[in-house]
Amino acid sequence: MKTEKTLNRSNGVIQIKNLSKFYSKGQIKAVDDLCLTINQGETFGLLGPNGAGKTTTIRLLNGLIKPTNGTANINGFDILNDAQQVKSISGLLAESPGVYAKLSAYEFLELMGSLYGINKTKLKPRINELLSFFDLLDRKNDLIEGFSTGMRQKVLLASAIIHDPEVIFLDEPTAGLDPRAARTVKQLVKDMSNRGKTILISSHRLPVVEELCDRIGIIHNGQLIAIGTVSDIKDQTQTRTLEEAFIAITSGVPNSSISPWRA
Amino acid sequence: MISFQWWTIAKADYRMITSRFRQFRPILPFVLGGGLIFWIFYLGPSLAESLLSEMDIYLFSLVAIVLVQFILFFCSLIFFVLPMMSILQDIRDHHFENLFSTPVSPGNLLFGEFLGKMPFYATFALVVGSLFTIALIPLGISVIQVLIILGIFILTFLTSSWIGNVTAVLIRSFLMRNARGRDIGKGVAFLLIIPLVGLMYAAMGGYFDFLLDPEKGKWFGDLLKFFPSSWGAEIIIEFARSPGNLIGINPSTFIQVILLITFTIVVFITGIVFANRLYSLELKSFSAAKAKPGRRFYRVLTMLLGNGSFAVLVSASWKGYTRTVRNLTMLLYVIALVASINIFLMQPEDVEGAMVSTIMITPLLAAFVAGEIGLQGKDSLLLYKQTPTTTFSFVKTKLCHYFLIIIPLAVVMEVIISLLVPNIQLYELFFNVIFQIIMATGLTLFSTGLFLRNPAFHDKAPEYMVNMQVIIFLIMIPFFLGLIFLDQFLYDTFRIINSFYYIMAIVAFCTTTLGLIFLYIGVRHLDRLE
Repeated sequence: MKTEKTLNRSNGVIQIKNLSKFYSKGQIKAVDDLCLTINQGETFGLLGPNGAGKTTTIRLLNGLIKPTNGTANINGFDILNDAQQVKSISGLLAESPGVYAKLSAYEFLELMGSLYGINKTKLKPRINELLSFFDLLDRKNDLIEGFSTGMRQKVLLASAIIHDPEVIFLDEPTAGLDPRAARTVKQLVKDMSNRGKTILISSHRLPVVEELCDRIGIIHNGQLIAIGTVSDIKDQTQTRTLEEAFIAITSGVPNSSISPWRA
Repeated sequence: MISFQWWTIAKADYRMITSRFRQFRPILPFVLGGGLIFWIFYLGPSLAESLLSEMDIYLFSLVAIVLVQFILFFCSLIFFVLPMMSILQDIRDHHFENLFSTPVSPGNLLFGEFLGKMPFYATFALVVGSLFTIALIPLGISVIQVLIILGIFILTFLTSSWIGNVTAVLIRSFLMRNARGRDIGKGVAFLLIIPLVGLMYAAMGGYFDFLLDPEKGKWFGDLLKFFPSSWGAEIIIEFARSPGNLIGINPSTFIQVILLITFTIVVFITGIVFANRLYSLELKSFSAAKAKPGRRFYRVLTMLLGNGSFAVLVSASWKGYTRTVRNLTMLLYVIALVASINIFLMQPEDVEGAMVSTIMITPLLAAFVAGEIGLQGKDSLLLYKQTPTTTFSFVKTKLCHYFLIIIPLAVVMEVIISLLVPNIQLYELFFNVIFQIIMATGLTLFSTGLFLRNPAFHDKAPEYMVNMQVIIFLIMIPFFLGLIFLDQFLYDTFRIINSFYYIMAIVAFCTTTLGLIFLYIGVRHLDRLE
């Protein structure tokens, strides 16, 4: 858990107001009347079972898709009316993003940096800085098609923060990474958080969320059903671990029925 | 805030296209440009001068305008269809998620992606256009006239490819909302080429020869005038008829050129303006395609195959194949190809003709069907190795599945084509069918073996294209060698006059033998695959 920084909880950088996204003429409610405020410098973890609406929420907040109802403010910009500004001040690491496999790591970051409008003179050192941080500097001219899943994830993470955004959306940031690389990513998130960046993480890896997030929200069937610090959630559910709390909240499956499979 | 996003996208697109030649990327434009200039202004005209007689060149200059219109129309159609095929064959929505998380506008993305490919479209347009100019340069047309003609070609073809791009993006956006969109896109891409193939065979079969006669082709020319591709045709003919004369252009011709330029500008602007509606990451529905369990066909199939695990494996393989739109459109393509060849190119007048027309198609059919063996990825091949199922059982399953598709289709095609032969005897029909069954069997073994020896895990993988070419052309070798050399040998040695059937027997033997050898090699390779 973070201890160094002081959170400014009075000022919500991400303000979600009754956000909904329905599909199939309203039959499927991917996100249902979501209300949430995430403060500046806060790292917020969004947890939920598969298909709960986590990725849809992140896509809505980044302006990739439009909500059916409600809206959200990202650092003062409305996702409906100021989608371009929202994208300019935020960075997204999507769950399973495509990369330009025929570009080198450097060329890909150059492309993404240019799309964020970074000046060419500032872009080159920034790319080298990120590649060096992710241990990819010696591979910078290799085509991404030859990269492992973990290396691709590093390049994508670098592309999401290349413009040093105020708000960062990370959908499964440690997926496919080995423990060493995962540690690098976690350190990066902590550093960014300490620098006052607001981070929204969606992940299934409960230890990652537990380690990085100031608060967590559990989303199920598109609805936010629990919110608070990890201790709050555990206290509310009278469980010892976040995993037990998560299972208790989301499925109601009793512990005894799943424990035989854990042996 | 952000300027020239389209330039950034174009640069990335160009880099991706030229990624194979990364070392030569800085000199590529100069090599390409220099090569084109050398070809258009020196090598091409020199070749034309030496190959064409003065009379030919003169006649070429008098060629009917409608022929130029038709060539421009046909090439425009290719320029319209090719980008569509390329985009629809590779629908990747995740790739857009990344791009649209940045403040890039859809208009910039659309234009940038097109601009990145433009040097290659323009090069192709220049090559096609130069086929006209190299024959006209010996007639004395000026450099400015050459440049105007090439400009007309570039304008016409870029407009077509832009429309093709915008249309493909529109279709892609629609398909991306569907769970099966990627598969449908690949299927649609295959269907698009069928009309082009039909037109090509019709042209090869002489169905457009009437265009050489200005009188007979007038109605066709009038029809083509509705298409922008024709609006630059007249100026090309005028330059050909009065080389060096830039002033005496007919006002109506001049208006058509202005119209073409205006159309190009309008089309580009319209595409960019409407780009915001063309790109969408919105899903239409979360509902996935549902399988229909227990269909009678599968019940009968498993029953016929003995209801055991082998029957279940064949049935599963068949289900996977027939539920892929691309596979079905590939079969449709083969049928369309057979139809085009027999309608436009070579109506079978005798039994031998019927055999020849199918012998060219069966390899393609076998390659298309057996080519799917690794397309689900390497893991799909290794999946069987994780179970007690042997490699032999896996291959047996796949072969049974392929035979069930290839042999009936090949037989039906052979029967239909043979029945078109006037006065065909029943025994001749029977012989043709037997021959076709042997060929289809041999080719299935060969294709399966080859795709196992040299697996292609993606339909754009070089292995896929190489295997396709090998299957299509390797079987042609004994056939044509037989026709060319064996025919004479059989006559000289055994005094056999009608040696066609003997040659066919040798071809069938070679195909089956090669098939068995390659199957053995393929199975051994699969056994060792890690």
